[in-house]
Order: sequence, then structure tokens, then C-alpha cells
Amino acid sequence: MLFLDLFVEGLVQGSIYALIAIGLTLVYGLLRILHVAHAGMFTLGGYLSVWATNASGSFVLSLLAAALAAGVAGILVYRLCYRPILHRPPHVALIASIGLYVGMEELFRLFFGPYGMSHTDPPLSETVGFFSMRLKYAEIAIMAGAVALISALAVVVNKTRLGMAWRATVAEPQMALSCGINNDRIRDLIFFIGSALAALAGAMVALVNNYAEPTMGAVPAYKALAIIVLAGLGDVGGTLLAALALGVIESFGTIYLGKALDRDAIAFAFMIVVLMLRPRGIFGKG
Amino acid sequence: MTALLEARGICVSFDGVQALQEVNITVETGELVGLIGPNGAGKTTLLHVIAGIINPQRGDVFLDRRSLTGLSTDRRVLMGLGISRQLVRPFYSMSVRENVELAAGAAGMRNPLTALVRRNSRAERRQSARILALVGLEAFADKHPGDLPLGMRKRLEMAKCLAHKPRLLLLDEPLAGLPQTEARALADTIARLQNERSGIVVIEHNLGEVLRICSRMVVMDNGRCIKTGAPERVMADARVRAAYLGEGHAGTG
Amino acid sequence: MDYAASLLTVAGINIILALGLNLITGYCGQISLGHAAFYGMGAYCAALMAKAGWPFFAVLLPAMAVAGVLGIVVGFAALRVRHDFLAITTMGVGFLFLGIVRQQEWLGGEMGIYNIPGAGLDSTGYMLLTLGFAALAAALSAHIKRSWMGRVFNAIADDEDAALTAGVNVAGYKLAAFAIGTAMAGLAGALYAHGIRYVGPESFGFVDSVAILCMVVVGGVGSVPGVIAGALLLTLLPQLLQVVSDYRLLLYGGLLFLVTRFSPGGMAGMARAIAAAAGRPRAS
Repeated sequence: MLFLDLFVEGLVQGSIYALIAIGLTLVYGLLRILHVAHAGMFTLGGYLSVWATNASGSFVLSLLAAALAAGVAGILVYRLCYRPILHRPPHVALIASIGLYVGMEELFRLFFGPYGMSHTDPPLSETVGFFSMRLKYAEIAIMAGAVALISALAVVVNKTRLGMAWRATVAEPQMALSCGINNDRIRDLIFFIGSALAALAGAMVALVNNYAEPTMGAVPAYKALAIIVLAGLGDVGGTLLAALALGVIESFGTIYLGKALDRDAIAFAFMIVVLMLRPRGIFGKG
Repeated sequence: MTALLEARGICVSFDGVQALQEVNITVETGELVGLIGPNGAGKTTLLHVIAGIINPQRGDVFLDRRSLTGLSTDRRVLMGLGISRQLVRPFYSMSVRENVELAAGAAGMRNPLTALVRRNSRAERRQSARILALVGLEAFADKHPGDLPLGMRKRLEMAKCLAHKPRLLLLDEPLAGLPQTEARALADTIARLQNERSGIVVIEHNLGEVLRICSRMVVMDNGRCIKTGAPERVMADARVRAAYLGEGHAGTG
Repeated sequence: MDYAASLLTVAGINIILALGLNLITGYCGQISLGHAAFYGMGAYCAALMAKAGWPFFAVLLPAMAVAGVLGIVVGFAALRVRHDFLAITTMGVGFLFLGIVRQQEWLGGEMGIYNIPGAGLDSTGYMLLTLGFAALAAALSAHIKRSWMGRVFNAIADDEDAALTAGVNVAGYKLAAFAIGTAMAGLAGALYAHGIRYVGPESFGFVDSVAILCMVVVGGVGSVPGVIAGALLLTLLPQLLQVVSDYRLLLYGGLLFLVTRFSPGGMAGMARAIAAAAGRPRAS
């Protein structure tokens, strides 16, 4: 049952990618910024949840705290970092964002120390049999959590005023700007939601690995960029599919391509091939 | 028949919506053709197909009987197309003179390696001085495009097209956004550009000026050419009136 | 003396790298987040050839050619995708390069390649040689900026579509920018391989691409003196101040962020602003 093992492992990894990438898509759709520093929120979430679980003993409470804190941090990033440079060419914000992220990694190292942080009593670490394999409860929680959160987000995007404003901005950026649909309050909310989702993803990864460390965001950060580019930038449904697909492709690729490419390069090989065939992504128009 | 431009059976669709359906258009040398029609009729799309900015699903474009199909925009420019798009887009980092010089030198500098060993540009300088005089911009040659009013930037756009000595000039709404006196002056400039060896196609909503300067009109509606002929005959046509004026389009100025 | 010489050698290599990226990103406006991959190509090529017994000067051209060819391939990608898509594609090229190198036995895998023969010069001589190449790179950059090629690059960076309708051979010039810029990175790689006498995958990662970009941005995108100053500052500062060295990445990240946020023209832009404020306008 190697096939099933790899497939499920891919889905678990893909759900994590999805949680990170969806925040990036939301931000990109609204502001056309490739928000690399988003991965800093992921790391922040990982650290905060481990720390809060150890301090309070409640994992659920720690998730709430991590999401809330990262959400507020996301708003601050928008207000202090992006808003002043929105009128500049888009690569300016991208470069600033890379700088911000690299700086954030170092700050985590300074603040939490270089060796990372673990749960004293890791929650959900029991395993359960599923066909031929054993899954940690934490892994099941990741998939269930991702499904629940992304479904909730789909409802938000499709049914609420916030979602309408976001979709309007993606479709007609100029119009949305001049009508005042794309305003600071909407942007604050989008940064809050996106950052909170990334923090939850970070918390879950810290849970599965029982480890939060300063550079845990690096690989997901760049892969999440690959994912939203694959999906065509600014497409929530496409992002979810691309994230899951990448998770699965990676887990098979590591077995079958492992000799030629390491795991992280598979994502980018896949992305480059797709972009050369469809320069605006799988689901992008034109 | 020696049509300067011939586009045959052009079909374009975006996301399943047919923007152009079997459009045919010819332009003879010495003609100044006004391309009119309501918004969304497909005028700009047709222009973009001729310019190579959009690739049609079907159909072919010939300039001087040479096929342009599949060529990139810059190649088409070198073969004799002059393209002035609706939104003026000068190079804001250069002066007006340098803008025109760059366009004038593009043909001789296809190969980057020749450009690497070339610094002086006397030929381009002379060429640009001549063209700037032609479009009435000589006084602004050392200004930056960002400091010019819209009317002057439109003239710059035209000067960049002329720098290649085009056989066929494609102008997309050159008068849009200009006050009437300036529009009139620019229309006169366009009429002066027309000569026996080249042709001009102009998309314009300012019907008064189009009627004044054009030798022939082509009317488009819903992705088709519905009528072509001398300006007064075309405007008298019932179908044209229904399609164009019947919609209450505010383009009679 | 040896320490100062090796430090200046590294500075010279970084100047060549930064000037190469400046050609692509500064002059031609094509963002690249994978410059270290071309640097690595040159370094690995030089390392293998030197190990096979090729003399130092015979290795330089092939190293430049290999990097330049990869650069042209990536340049073709730049013809397909633009802006954000290009940024991520070039970043992907960087990860792909490392991903491949790490898995190859014949490239030393994770361990890298040791005991590369030196250039046969003492450390001062090698420093002078490297700085000489850096000066050549600077002269070439300055020449390109004044040549017709520089003008066309400027037009493409300004507005690619307008350049097309002006009849500019945009594709050819983009490829030329990538070819020249990445060949310079290949040269830097060869100089690195012979200078350090070891190459390994950890020297050519995303962080290194960001560091090169940082030199360009901090120095002033498009300005030759600015980029040289940026490369010097970011090479020497961490070496001279131990405190800074511990937080090298924080410095890079912080500077990238602060400069783009507050002074997008970099040090060259600041110098111009100061000169203008002093009432004596100066060319960049």
C-alpha cells in the first residue's frame, strides 16, 4: 500500500501548503504584492502555539492565541510596510518583502534562540491505524483543520461583503479602487485572515514535528509562492487544488525522482514547466 | 490589385465571446481610412490583430502582399506598420528627442551586438529633428514626456510611429481627451501625413473630425464590418445610423 | 595582509556579481531572484575543469560561457513570463540548480568539491587580478550604459510594450542582458572557485541571490558607482565589525527593507538628493 501511504502523506503536506498559500493569494488578489514575509507569520504561529501550549496546557487556547497575534501582526505589516510603497512598481514591494522576511527570521533567532522550541507534552501525538499505515492524530487534525478552515474561507469569499469586495478587486482593480471598495479596512481584514491562517498552519507543523525553529518558514514561503503562481495568482479555488497537487506530486516525486532532484526542487521544476506552457498559470486567463 | 493592407477572415474570441467574426478590411495606398463604430464593436481588437498584439484564431494579414501572420509586433513595425495605441505610452525616463531617436534607430539596431559598439547617433538625431518638426514638437525636444500636456504627448506618440517611415499608420483614438481646438489641429496634422505612398487607418469617436479628414470610412458593429465607402454615403446608410447613432452614442462632436 | 587580501578578493567577486545583476535588473528591468545559480554554474564549471588539470586562464572563458548559456535559457523564460511571474521563475531556477547539484555524486553532492588547484598567484596577486576583473566589469557596465544598447535597455525597463511598438527587438535585447549579466556571474564563480579552492551548494542558495540583489538595491539600481559601493559596503561591513557579522542576514534583510521603503534610489539616489540639496546637481 505504498501508493496510499504516499498519497495521504502528500495530502497532509498539501493541506499545510494550502493554508499558507491561500493567505498569499488573498493578499496578491487585493494588492498585487508577492507577500514573502507571509512565511514569517507561519513561523510566528509555530512559536506562539508551542509557547502558549507549554504555558497554559491547552492546545486549543494556544491556537487561538497564535492566530490572533499573527493576525494583528499581519495588519501591522500591511500598515507599516506595504501601504507606504503601494504606488511604486510591484517589484519594490517584493524586494522589501524579501528583506522583511529575512530580517524576521533573524529576529526569531534572536528572540527565541537558535535551537528551536518543543512541546513539553506534545498533544495529539498518539497514532491510529488506517489501512496499512499509522497516522498521528495531529496529521488527521491538520487535514480536518485545513478542510474546515478553507471551507469557511470559501464561504467568506463567496457569500460575505468582504468576499465580494475581494472578488471585485481581483476582477477590476482600478474600478474597485476608485469606488472605494478596496479600502484600508478590507485590506486590514484580508491581512488579518491570511496571517491567522498561516499562523494556524505554522502551529500545526510545529505540532507534527514537535518543533518550532527560526527557519521553519523558509521552504513553505517559497513553495507557497510557487503554488500561487501555478494557480494563476489571485484564485482561491485554484490555489487549493495546486497546493494539494503539489503535496502529492512531491511525495511521489521524492520516491521516483529523488535521485535527480531533491524534494524542494521538484516544486520549482513543476512550476517552471507549467509556466513555460501556460505563462499565466494553470487557472490563469489569457 | 495592389492593396497596401489586406486582412482576410479575421476571427477573434475572448473566453468564448466572439469579438471579431470573419472581418475583412483592405487599405489602398494614399487612403486615409476612418474606422468607426460603437464601443465594443471590435475596432481596437482589429487594430491589435493587424499590429500583432493579439493573435487571431483565424485569418491572415498582409502588408504589401507580404504575410504578417505569426510575426511579433516589433517585426511588423520594421516591415512598415506604425502603431499608435489609445493610451499614450512614451518612455518617461527619456527626453522627447531621445524617444523619437530610439524609435528611429530600432531598425538599424536589431542586433544587440551592433548596439553595444554604437554610441553616436547622428543619423537618428537628424531623423528625429525632422519628424519633431513635422508633428510640431520641435520646441519641446528636450523636455520630458511627463512634463508635456496630453495633446503634446499624443503628438510624440505619433512622432515615434513616423520615425520608421511607416507604409501604414494605425492610430487608435488620437483625438480622444483633447479639447476641440487641439483635436482639430491634430486632425489637420494627421491629414497632412497622408501621401500617395502610404496609408492611414484611424479609429476615432470624434465623428466631425473623421468625416472632415477621411477619404473612406469603415463601420464596425458587433465584431463585423457592416459598411464601407465614402464618408457621406456611409453616414446616410440606414444600417449605420441604426447601429451607431441609434444607440445614442455621444460621438457626434 | 593575507586577511585583507582575501577580503578584497571577495569584495571584487561581489562587485562583478552585483554589476552583472545590475545589467539584468537595473538596466533592462528584468527582475532576477536566482543570480547565485549562475554564479554557482561558473564556480562548479571552473572547479571541475581545474581538477581535470586545466590551467587557470583557460578555465575563465568556459565558466563564463556555461553560465551565459544557462542565462540565455532563463532569458527565454523571461520572454514567456513577466514581472511577478518572472521573479518567481528565476527564484525557481535557483532552487532547481541547488536541488540538482545536491543530488549529483560527480559534483560532490552536499559535500562539494575540495582541493581545487589555485591560480598560481599569491594572495595579493590574486586580489589584484580579481580587482582588475572587477574594474573591467565596471568599465563594461559604464560603456553599455552610454551605448545604444543602454538606451534600448532603458526603454525596455521603462515600458516593454511601448518598446515593441517602437520596433525594438525586445526579445533579442533581453537575451543579451541575461547573457552578459550571467556570464559575468560565471566569471565571478570561476574566481571564487580558484580563490577559496572549495565549492559547495551552500554558497549558491537563495540567500546568496538575495545578498547580491541587496548590493544592487542598497547601492542604487542602475547606477554603476552605486552598485560598486553597495557591494563593497555589504562585503566589508560584516567582516570588519564582528557584531554585524553575527547578524549578517538581519543586516541584509533590514537594509533591503529600509532602502526600498525609504530610499528606493539606494545610496546613489541619496547621493543625488544630497547633491541636489547642496545646489550642485550632479550626474549619476
